Amino acid sequence: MNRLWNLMICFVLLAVTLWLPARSTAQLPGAGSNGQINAFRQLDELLPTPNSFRTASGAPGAHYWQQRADYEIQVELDDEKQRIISSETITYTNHSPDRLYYLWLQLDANIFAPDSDANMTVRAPSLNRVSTHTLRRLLVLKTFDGSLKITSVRNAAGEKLSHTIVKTMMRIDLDKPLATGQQFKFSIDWNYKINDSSLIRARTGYEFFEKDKNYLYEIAHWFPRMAAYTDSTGWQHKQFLGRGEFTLELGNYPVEITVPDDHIVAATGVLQNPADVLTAAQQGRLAEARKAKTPVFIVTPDEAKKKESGKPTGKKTWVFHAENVRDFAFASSRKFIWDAQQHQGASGPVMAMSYYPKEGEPLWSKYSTHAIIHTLKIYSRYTFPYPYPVAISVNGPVYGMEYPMICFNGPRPEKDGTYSKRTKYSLISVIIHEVGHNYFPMIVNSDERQWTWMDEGLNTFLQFLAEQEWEDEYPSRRGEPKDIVGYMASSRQVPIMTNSELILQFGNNAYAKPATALNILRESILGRELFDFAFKEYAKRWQFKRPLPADFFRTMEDASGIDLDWFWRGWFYSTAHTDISIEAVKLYTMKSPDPEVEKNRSKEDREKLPETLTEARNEKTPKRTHEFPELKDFYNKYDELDVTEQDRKAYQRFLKGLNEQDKKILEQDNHFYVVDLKNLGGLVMPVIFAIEYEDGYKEEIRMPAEIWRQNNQQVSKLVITPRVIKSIVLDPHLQTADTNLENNYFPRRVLKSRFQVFKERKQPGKNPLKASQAKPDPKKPPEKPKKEEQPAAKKKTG
Amino acid sequence: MRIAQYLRSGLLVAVTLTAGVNLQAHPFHATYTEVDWNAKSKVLEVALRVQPEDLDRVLSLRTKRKIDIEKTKDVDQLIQKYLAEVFLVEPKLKQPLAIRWVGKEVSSKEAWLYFEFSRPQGIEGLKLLNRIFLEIIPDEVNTVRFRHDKKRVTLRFDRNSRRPVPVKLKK
Repeated sequence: MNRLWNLMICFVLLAVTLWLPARSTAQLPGAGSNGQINAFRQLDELLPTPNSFRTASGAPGAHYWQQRADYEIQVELDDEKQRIISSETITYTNHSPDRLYYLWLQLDANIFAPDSDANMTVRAPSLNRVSTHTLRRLLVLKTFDGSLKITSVRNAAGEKLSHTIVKTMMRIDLDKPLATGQQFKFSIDWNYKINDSSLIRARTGYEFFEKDKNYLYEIAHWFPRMAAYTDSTGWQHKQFLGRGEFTLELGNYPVEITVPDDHIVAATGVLQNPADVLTAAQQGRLAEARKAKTPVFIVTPDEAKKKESGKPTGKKTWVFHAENVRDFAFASSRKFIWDAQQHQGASGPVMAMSYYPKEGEPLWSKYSTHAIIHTLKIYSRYTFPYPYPVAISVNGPVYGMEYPMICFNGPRPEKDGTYSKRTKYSLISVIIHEVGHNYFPMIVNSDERQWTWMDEGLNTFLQFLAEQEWEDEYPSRRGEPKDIVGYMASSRQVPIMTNSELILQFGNNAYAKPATALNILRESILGRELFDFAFKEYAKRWQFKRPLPADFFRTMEDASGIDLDWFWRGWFYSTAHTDISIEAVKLYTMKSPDPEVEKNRSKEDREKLPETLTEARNEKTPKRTHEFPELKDFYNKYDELDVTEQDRKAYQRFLKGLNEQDKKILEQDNHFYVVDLKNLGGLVMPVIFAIEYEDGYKEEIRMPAEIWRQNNQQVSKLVITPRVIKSIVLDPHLQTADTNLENNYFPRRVLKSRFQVFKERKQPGKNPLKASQAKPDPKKPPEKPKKEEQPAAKKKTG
Repeated sequence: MRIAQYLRSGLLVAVTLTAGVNLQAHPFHATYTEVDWNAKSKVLEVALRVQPEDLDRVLSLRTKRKIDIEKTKDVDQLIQKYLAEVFLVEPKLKQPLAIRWVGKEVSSKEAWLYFEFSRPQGIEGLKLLNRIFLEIIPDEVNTVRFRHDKKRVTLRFDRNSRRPVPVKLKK
């Protein structure tokens, strides 16, 4: 202890504040009492108490249960009147420990009733400028009735069941309660009118092609589906208001779909009767597709075109069977071109198939099936092997919507068959996204009525990973931290942990922010290896089960071994953003114990002190001691910085007391830099320094977010180095979504605004960057050079 | 009532577009703008980020023809004209400042629009309103980050924003 004290004394450090900007008085968002936001407080108070259904580690517990609903459905698609006429038999199995006195079903098509909550709560658009088309849409909402017309609800014995329709839900009252382990079988008949998607945009609908007078149907949430009954929510019968999508029970689906006999049908599941509905040639081509290395046409563009002018001669029934799915959707049209290629998945072959009208060509035959297989390959690597036998992408009126094994995707080229770069990447991205939804939420069966981010956020994150493996520099719209900065800095946000219907800035909140947060967690907090292990563990644990947000948060911590409560709290439960500032850098140098050295240094410092104005002017003034030198005495010669005999003796005594280690430390000529950091945005994040030294040496120092754990608002970091620091850059690789980069530099730099950078680049001959960018883009697809226009600004200078 | 008024005042412009790809489908209804006050030239420098498809759609509606901001020849003029209606910078007098088009950058990811407003008397009493896309996307949120030296303020505009709001810079 004594020795330490000695050292401490001679270490009296000379402090020099290198730089201190104006004090910031920014208010921390979410600041609690004492100005402390408690960013590291544990989440326990916010998470549900673990139980035997869901463990504290985030896994399904010993008594985890979920209900099961098996469906047998017969449906006829009426191409004359655009109607669905259908009946189903549901076998509902109660695996819950509870007795059920009634069952709840979802009638999602009731959203198309003129007086539905969804329609009645549509807010007024701005009417300064509207198209007649918009007016038609507004008017049709008041008149079109696409709600389910239930014609019969009967039990297995054929007796009528008492039922009550509550908007988009229906309650069926049971004569006797359904006990644990019991099954209840009942049948429903219904019909409804299909919505014209050009007037009523939805996740389902038909498209009418004016030129050839044909229809294309994408049919979804078309049958009464069992509402989920869970350990955490009971009956999930929050009304369908149009945004919070679905949560459903898993089951098997034998489905018979009757359509005009010239239609091609794509559906969830595997076609059971190809011999009845396909030509011999088509069946042969399907067999070929099983071995093909590239997509094979099952229905060629020519064949589809020929059918456009034909008429059906009767009806055909397509029989599909799907196992362990939570929903069933299908598409039907005589316009469909159909291509397929088998993908060898880790758990068996998967038939990847695309269906599209000629209006989708040439984009669709080139990219759709490739995008499906790419998605299965990448997503399976990060989660689990794709468990279904087919994966389908359909082009039609719905821009992008997912169902088990099948999804609907909108992008199409121009009428002349050309397409922009934007259309191309929109198509690839939307297919990756919608096929990717098979993993979340079709298989990892989270509740989108409650939490949009649990599937959209996780899926958008994996979409980013898949896009980046499609080609170099794929133009992903979300994923990179720098792309979320504008949203993070915006005001009046809601946390990610907000119910689907209450979210503000929906896309940024439920898709982009969680996707970016996970990318940051992977790249900058856990690292790829730990993150990938934990994320995969979550996917595997909850495959075909129902996770809650807490199960995700807990699993990621449980499997990675890292306490992430601060991360969930900051990114998912708050609206704080990253803005870390270098407030000051102070340099401390060691005071030498050798009086010869130290006192001389002090003298030098004294020399450096500036002469004051008065001192300078008085220099030439005659002084009395010049006239009478005898007035000078000891004190006129004494310099307190002269080394005395006493000083030398004290130094010798000091040296004697030192051991070898102490001596070594003293010999080193270290600089002690203290970097003062301030957290202006409220979000605690890792601190990453890129330091450049005067001698040209560069290094990076990374400090985990825990550096903020005892003071969330300001912290100082000591950097000990024999070198002289020239500059420090905070977050040099843009990893943390820091919303203000200007305060990330020591010495401070004035960053040019985006506007200034653009304007300078526009001025010819001023910037070498311009010349290099005027080169043709190497990523141009050779077959469509005209579509790949350079941005206008570059064109002007080029 | 309101609708009737608008109809009578002739503000309702009837346009019909052939139904093509459903462009409203993306759920990202937000724009982001960076405004910097250039004290030297007394100019407000604006960089506005949009999703390119939203701009295509609104311009198509206005012009009754299909606009592609990467291809349509006179698109810069169309954008400028549109911005002059929806991006309002107001001095104390009730007249909005004239917009000066600088240029645009379009990628498949996003489009940045650059324009400026001259204000020789400084930023004292400046008011701002950004109603871009609100006529086609009811839940659009337009965030504007205003910056001058170290002072900044973030403004947010949505369907309820009808009047320009004062720019109050905070340190």
